[in-house]
Amino acid sequence: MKPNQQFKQRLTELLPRLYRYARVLTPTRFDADDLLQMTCERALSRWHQLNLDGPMDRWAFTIMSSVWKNELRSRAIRQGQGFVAPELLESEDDESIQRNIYLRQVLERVSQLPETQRETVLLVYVEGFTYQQAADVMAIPIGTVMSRLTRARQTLSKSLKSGGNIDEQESLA
Amino acid sequence: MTSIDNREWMNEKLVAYLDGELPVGEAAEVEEMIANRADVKDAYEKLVRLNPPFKEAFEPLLAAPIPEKLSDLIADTPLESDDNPSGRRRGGFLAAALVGLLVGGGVTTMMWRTPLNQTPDWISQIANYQSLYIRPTVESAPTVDWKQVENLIESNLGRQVPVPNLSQNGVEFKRGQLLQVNSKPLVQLAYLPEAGIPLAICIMRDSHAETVIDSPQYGSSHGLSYAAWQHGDLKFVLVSDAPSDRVREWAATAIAQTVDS
Repeated sequence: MKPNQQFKQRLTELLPRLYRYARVLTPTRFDADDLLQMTCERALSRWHQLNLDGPMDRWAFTIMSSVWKNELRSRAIRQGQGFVAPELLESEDDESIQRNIYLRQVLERVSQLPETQRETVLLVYVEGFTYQQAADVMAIPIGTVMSRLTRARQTLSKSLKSGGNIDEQESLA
Repeated sequence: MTSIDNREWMNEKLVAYLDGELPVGEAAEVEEMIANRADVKDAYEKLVRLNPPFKEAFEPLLAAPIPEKLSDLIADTPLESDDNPSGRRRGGFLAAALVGLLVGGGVTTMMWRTPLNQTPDWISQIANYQSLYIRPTVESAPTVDWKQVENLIESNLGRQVPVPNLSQNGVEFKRGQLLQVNSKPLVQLAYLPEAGIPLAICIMRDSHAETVIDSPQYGSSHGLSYAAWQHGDLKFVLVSDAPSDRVREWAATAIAQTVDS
């Protein structure tokens, strides 16, 4: 397979993860669609910057993070959407979310975190990036990753408690 | 350090320990504290107990249908070449373009580069130039004299063309300037949208053009979307980093004023 075909195939395979990242970053699905499209366009125009022998995910996630922070986020704020995103959870896959109420609650509570914390939670705890890799994607110091995760865990701990889900949570542990 | 600072520091260490992110030496220190201090042990056990299954909770989002246009975009976008030279060529080109801008002053000679497979070369050059723009590039431009810009178009392209007014789309006209592509004059009209980098509408004359393209051609180049159209022997292109639907919307406004006028 030619390198350019290989690049396109890998980018296509990465779309679900990129779209999930976009959904976590943005307040509406409309914004997520825009962000995903711009990220793909940017990636396609810079494809020769990627070492095809290495991973594509962190490279593409970095592009998305940059596009969102530098170009799209201010527009989303200006349009009055804010960052609180209840519709983030109105997934097409609602049925599968409902099969476990606790998982849904975790998702809801994470979506209610500040944008920077939920982004960091996604990169480290969902995508499995190391602290350093997540710091590189977001262009922030590794210490900031640590403090964001700690604050996120503290908030989640309280909100899941106040939601009365301790028993369910412990049963899953 | 205050006790609150200490507590925050300890919480961060415990989270990093739980996540397997501490170096061996630090991890051993944390283990020792967990073993010897009741408050640290309680905090750690609480963290373990309340460790949410994040990965599992986010799994359903992977099933969200990808917008169909994205697959088409990836399949249809021509890549610049078959090889993958890790960015060396582009870096050199951007540096050259910047030098061109710095020495060119009001009239800039743009650099030549390998033609793209499908995007016309003049559009590729414009997109590459435009990708260097940031908001401050035009944000502080003095109040523009629209009539003066229209005179600039007429005197250099030999045609009367009104400056497209995109204010109804929330886009402010900031300035017009004369550039040059492949030794041909090109007028660049720079606009500032509500967000994102400035967009440009560029106009050049092609005396060999024989057809009138009423419907614009859309594409992307250098990470920017564009809409190109033609009227008589004038070629227009609108270039922006905005999502393609907005580019289409802005282009429709501009076409109505440049073609239908």
